[in-house]
Amino acid sequence: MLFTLGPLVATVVLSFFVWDLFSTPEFVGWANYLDLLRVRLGEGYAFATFPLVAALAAVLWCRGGFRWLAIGVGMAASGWMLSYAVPDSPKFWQSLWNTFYLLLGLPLGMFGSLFLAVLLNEKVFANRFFRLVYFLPSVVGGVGVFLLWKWIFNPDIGPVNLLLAAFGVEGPAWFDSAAWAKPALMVMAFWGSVGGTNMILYLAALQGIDPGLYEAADLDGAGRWHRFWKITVPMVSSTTVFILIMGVINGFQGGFDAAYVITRGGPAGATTTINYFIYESAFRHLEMGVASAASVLLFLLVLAMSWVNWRVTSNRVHYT
Amino acid sequence: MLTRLVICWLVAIALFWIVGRWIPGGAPERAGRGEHELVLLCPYGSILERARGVAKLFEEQQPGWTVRIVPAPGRDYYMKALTLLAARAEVDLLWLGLGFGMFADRGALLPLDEMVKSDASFSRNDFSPQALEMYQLGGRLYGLPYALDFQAYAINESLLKMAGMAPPDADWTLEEFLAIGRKTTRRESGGRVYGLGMTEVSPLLYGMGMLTPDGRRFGLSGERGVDLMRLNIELADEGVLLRSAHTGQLDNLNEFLSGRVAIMSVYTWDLLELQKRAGFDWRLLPPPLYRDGSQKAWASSQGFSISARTEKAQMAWKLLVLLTSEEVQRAMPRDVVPTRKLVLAEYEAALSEREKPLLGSLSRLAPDPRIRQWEKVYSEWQYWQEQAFEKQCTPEAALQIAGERINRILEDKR
Repeated sequence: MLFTLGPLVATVVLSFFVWDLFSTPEFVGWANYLDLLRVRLGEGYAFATFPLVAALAAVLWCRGGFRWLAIGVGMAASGWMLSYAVPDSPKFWQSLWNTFYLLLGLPLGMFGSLFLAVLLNEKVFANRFFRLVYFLPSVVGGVGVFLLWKWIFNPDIGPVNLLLAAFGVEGPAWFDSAAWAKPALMVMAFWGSVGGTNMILYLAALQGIDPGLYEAADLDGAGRWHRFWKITVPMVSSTTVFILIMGVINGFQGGFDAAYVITRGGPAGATTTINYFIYESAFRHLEMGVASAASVLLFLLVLAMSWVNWRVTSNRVHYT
Repeated sequence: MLTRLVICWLVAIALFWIVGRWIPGGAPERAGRGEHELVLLCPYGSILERARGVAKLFEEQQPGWTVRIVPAPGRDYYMKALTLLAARAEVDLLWLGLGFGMFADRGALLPLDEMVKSDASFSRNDFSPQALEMYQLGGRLYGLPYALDFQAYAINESLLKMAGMAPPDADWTLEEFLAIGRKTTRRESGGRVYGLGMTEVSPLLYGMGMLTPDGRRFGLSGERGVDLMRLNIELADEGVLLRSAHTGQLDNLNEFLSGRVAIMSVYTWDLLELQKRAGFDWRLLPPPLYRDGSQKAWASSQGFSISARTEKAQMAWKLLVLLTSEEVQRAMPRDVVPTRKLVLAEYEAALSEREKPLLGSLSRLAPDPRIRQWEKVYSEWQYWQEQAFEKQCTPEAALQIAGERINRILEDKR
């Protein structure tokens, strides 16, 4: 308890100080938070987070279509504000954007895991072997895998661009290009997560579905798609919610290892996630206060997103 | 079952321990402990081997004293060293190069001026003043250098011949440099570039530095900075140079040695490899002259400093002098340029004809200012430079924002 609470409290306290590890910490109040969140709008200052906070509040109090409308308006207002405003800390906002962007791979990965689990749940030849093969990326993860992907996406000698060249297409610079670095990271994350723990969780959920439900559907003349959509998807919905919530939490906290090993957060900050931003602030620039403030904001963000996830999905889950 | 498990674990732990001791550098170096021990923090690489040799020599000269060397990975060395010192780790001396200012300005290093005065056998005049200058801050000396590193340009003469160009002279100009770069860029029939003429046009080639020489302001503001950035973007669009070398795609020396790049900015530490591995005609040149006649070569140094927290300052000074002594510098391989005047003269005399132009750089050294916020300033500049390179903003906007932000960082004394 002490080892968990100690650093937590220290982080919150340090977020109100300027400290470079050597000098005496200097109390600066909310300055670190203001530096991160404040944007210059014309002659004055504003907080691009206000519309987003309003949207979150709407999620809690509005019902039905109004809820989605409020979220849409909040996101659009924040986006509009940011497009006209100059953030005091552009790198922080870019890291936020990058983190959200990389999260877009989550639904694709979840669908892939479910698809694989359904396939491997069938009594087909060597299905245990295939389960092992698809699970392997989760076992061999780490720096070695990142280096392998760095080679795969190498613009000159990587197999991806060589394959594209065989079809007469000039491949992009992938990790060296601000536009393609994030999609390349998403492909890499998809490979690592599609057959991993999520697939195992879905497999377990699928094996818990009462076969009688499928037999009844067969008698009613339901096709494969209907069986999947009307029985499988609702029956694994509790697992889906669990994977979604954990995926969002891991997504917000992730991205550091790939950024550190492959891209160093670049090019042009295109792969700097919030986590990497925190690391850079703390251990490259020795700005412990800024890093602590960003950590507290990350915590609040994860908390809010988990709450939203729970509120939005709670009446759509079927618990067996 | 439990017994087997425990046995397996014990065997595994024993294996890890044995393998750990066996791998070079894997086991902590513990020559001894106690009051008569000096701890030296040093990065991996050839310098670690040299430091081990000097430590042995020191132990012979100072019976009863031992030197414990703590090796640290080279990547992010300065951050690791700063964190260790901040955590009051037991470090008496440490290796320092370009990042010297980050330590000295934070009060992490011991000023050496008193020791220099009281040691009759030591003279500042024995050192190259340029090298010694790199370990001074606010008029005080905080370290002694054993090596100078600086930049020169290596030219692949075979590629120049193939492009129908004569090799340039030592007083070549920026225009000649750009013309050679463009002409030696090689393309496939489809237009795809497979051989680069050059890799970058750095601020130094424009007679500028990222910071002003005193390290107080951003140095690339104004028309010349915009012109430089525009030129780099234009060359990247033409395919003459890479848009971004950020992810380490470009291993400078290997790219040159493999013939992929025709002109490459090389450093003194590349010399040995260049001599051993180049399978074509090459020569070194000092940096080209800018239009106003200025000529600048990037420079840095390698040396050692004493931690401000050491309790064994006198012995640490003795080890420091030994680490940078003439004997030690004379025994160094030729991948570094010595800093003791006598040894430097011997080094210069031993240079081959094709290496001699290297000396042209020696009188035009432009070291980066030693400042506390170096890491932050550099990462800020790199970020905005890449923003412009990736066309996320205009060169003017990138320079303006970078200038504002960097000046603000430099003004912040907290």
